[in-house]
Amino acid sequence: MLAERGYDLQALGQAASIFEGWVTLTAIRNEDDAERWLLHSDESTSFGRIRPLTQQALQYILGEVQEADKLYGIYRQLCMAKHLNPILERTRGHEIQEGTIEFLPGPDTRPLAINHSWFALERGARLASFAIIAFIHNDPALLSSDLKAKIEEQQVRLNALQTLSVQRWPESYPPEA
Amino acid sequence: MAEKSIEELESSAIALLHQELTEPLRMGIEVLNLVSALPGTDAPGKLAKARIVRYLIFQHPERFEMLYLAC
Repeated sequence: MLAERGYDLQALGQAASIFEGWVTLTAIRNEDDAERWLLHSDESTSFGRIRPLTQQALQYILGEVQEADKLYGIYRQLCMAKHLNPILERTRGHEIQEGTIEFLPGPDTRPLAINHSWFALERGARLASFAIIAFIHNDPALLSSDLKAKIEEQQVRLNALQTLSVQRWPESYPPEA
Repeated sequence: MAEKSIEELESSAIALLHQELTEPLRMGIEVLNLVSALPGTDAPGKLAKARIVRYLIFQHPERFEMLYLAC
């Protein structure tokens, strides 16, 4: 909805929320975790801090945390839009021509906005697929052979989309991110 | 003052962006469909708390519709 209407920065923010959803969902491994989540009563803090939750998610799913910083780097990229980071914000919403500034409210369809929307959708889909895998990992009884095949097929298509995205927007995929 | 309303600008944006974002939009919808197809949503009273909470997080705000919003 946001990306297709030209609200790329807001779409990036939603992708950051998907990241938070993935690592939080992965942290609910047993009844004690669920109880702690259900009883959480502090409005000033979230269920957990995202960097340690990212490390814990990888440790739980993969058995190692080697890629944690890289994944957290993706979250940091997405959060620049979510938290109005000036590095990103000051380049947007206006045009300067012949010394005159023109503000541009509403949707943005310029090349940079398309780049951002593409990145938000590609990363958002990938992160949501991580959540599906975590969901099944936590509850393997739900994994039928049919669902396993669908997940595997989808991972192939996600990899293809990522490859296409890296080719088209290499600056969005720095080696450390 | 802008010459066009936000609604008009959005309509023009949608026409262009549907073409520019075809592949990632399709992928996002496909992943959402798989989220919706995850089994075990029936009879919540019989579910373990861990499974209920995981479903609740998936439904934040409604069935991982953050991806739907991003699309």
